[in-house]
Amino acid sequence: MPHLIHFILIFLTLFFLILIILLITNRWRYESYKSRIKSTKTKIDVFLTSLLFSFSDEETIIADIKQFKKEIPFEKKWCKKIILNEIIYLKQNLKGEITDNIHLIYEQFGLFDYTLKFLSNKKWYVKSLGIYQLQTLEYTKGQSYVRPYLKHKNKILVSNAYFGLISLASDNLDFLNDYPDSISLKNEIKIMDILHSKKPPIPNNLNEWIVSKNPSVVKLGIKFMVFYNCFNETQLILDLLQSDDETIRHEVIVAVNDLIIIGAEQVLIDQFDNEQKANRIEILKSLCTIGTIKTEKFVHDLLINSIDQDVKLQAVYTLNQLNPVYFENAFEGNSEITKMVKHVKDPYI
Amino acid sequence: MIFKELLNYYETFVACFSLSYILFYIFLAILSYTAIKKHINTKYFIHDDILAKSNHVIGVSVVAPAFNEGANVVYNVKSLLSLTYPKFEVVIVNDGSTDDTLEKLINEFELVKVDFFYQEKIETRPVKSHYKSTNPLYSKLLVVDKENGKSKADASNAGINSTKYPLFLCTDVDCILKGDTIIKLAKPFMESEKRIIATGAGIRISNSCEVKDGFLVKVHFPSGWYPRFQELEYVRAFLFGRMAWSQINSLLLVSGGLGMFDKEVAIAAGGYWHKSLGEDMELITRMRKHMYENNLDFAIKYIPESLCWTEVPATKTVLITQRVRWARGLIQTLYLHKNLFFNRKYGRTGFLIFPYFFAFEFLVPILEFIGVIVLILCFIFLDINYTYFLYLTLTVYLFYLIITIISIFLDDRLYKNYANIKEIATLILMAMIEPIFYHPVNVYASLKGYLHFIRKKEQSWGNMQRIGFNTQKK
Repeated sequence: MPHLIHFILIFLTLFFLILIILLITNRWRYESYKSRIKSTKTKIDVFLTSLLFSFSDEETIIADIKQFKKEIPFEKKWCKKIILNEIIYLKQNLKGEITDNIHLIYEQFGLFDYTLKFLSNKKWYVKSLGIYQLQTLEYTKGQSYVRPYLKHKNKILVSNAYFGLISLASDNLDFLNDYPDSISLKNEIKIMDILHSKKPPIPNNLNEWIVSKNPSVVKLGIKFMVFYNCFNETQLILDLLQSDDETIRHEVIVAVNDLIIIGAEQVLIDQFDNEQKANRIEILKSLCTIGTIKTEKFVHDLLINSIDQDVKLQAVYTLNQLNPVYFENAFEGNSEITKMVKHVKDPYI
Repeated sequence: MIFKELLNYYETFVACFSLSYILFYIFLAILSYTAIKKHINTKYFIHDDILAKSNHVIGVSVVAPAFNEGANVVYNVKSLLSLTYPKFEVVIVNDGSTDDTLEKLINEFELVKVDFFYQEKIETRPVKSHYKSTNPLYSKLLVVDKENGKSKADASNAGINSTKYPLFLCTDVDCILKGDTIIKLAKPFMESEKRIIATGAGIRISNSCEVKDGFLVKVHFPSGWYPRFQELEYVRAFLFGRMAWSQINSLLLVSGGLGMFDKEVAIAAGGYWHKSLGEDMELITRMRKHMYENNLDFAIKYIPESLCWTEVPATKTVLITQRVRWARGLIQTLYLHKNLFFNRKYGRTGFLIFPYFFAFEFLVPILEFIGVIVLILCFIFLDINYTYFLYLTLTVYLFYLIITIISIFLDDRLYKNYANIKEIATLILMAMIEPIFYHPVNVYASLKGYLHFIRKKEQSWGNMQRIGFNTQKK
């Protein structure tokens, strides 16, 4: 036993010393490189900005980059990384014709090859980084390098490849119909962001999306239909209220509100009792937009019969929206409703 | 003879206990490394600015209870209102302050009483009124004025009852949050396939930081001894411990200073328990129980980034008061939820997390105290092999130290939170003396906390005496 303890002690001491050395040297290296990296970064910032704002022709840009490469430690990985990050930053923050030459600059620095190295790496997260670079730069020439990963065994990589391709192949988003997994809210937000910023043409197979077996694709299909104002497809959308999937029905209810499908009023009222709380509240929100006197009657009865205060509060909002004077003669003596009405009518809440 | 025999049993127990403790920490180290790596590997996907400008994000209510915070409340609320997120509100709960907290809020933010329809989903002390601003600039602010409930939990519950969004972020009004805190904490709720019920992130020490109007201007390394020791503790706990627990979905503690929760689940679980002294841990325990009892799949996530700066006790007396409260909270939670232990219904909470907290969090101070007594007795009555004793002590000491140094290493490699090598060297030195000077204070406070629990001593809000920040002049 004492020998074992002795051995462990020596091992721990060595390990401790190695850790201290690693910690200090790691920081020391960072400190010593910091100023060099900082000055190189400043040079790169100035160079790239002036290059973009100079609106030079292609030949001048190529010559300038060739010359600039000699002025910085271009062969160092960290240097390439800084240039690439800076190009990505400029791409994300500048709009209009000023960004026309970004892809040329990216190529002339040999950074496409640098990205391809990431894509050919064995580790999925390094591949994802490569996809991210192509995606943020919207480098459409790179889409053929991303497509093979649509069927990769790693789910996260597949997801990254799909969403990368939305940026790279936005002229034809038909492939989204084949998305194999569920799409998180975060990814939906990302897709909608691309949709708003790039305004791609409407997918040819959108009608297939909304009958997909993947509920996420169905929901995405509904969102796309809303985005493209597909009024002709309203019946197709409303039919989805019969879906077994609660989230699809939720999406339909939201779509009724966004597309202002007036004819859906009775459908939503009929659907109300079949839904859980969240969808009920959403129905009441949609009825705010499309409701008529029929809704007023429905909400009145609901306020008398319902016990859920969240639903009732939304119902008061809806009724107030449709007919602000409705409460003048109704619900007298009902202290709960009176409090809700006061809440809804308070200008500061 | 009997003493020797007892000692043999004791030795075997301590050896087994220590070995399992060490093995568990190695296991945690591996998990923590995996979790941090996973976080870093998946970060290149969606930019925060996309979330920051989207109307489709989940709404978040920031709940901050305030009790006699008149000195800084205005700046702190302004800081909270400046957070970056497209859909959020700030709910400040004035918990019956006896100073001018409410008056200052009313005057500064042009507040008026409103006809707020208050739903008491969680029972609290009576709420007197709600205030909203007449100035559209502060439309995100809601102030809840209530009777003092002698606990932060009661104030938080009143805040939760008044929120309008499905997620709520609980913080202390004096905590300084990073601008993108809501985005970072809300992101897991929007990306996970499982239902996320809570998220948390790293908390750092603001004692020596420069703060202007509630905003963090410059982060400085803590200058006092106790804040420095706590800096070590925080780095170790957040980067090492909690990341590891998060990796296996076994987090039992999301700090009261910074935690985001699913409101529906928190309310269904009954909200914060106002009699608890460790209300943050107790709430998570009940939320976990609720999910298990309803057969719902869930996860609690932790983010290895520092998003919140808070003032920590700067003196021994204040530190002991705080730690007594924490220790009492721990034993209280373990006792209250004793039915979780090895109960199949509660999965890993019953078989892993609770036994861990009992053995390696609750028992350790007691065992350490007994160990010291046994040692003294042995020194007096027995012939001890001092070399062997020294080796053993050094082994435990080095192991402890290595854990701390790994945490500092991870922190520095990932976030470069320290200004220079000098600060890192200082931390290393502090880590070396921590087990001798700081740890005993903690053990003492823990034992005192346990004793208070047994004696059922009266509890209070647990407000910490604050020295204040290095406030920059305007």
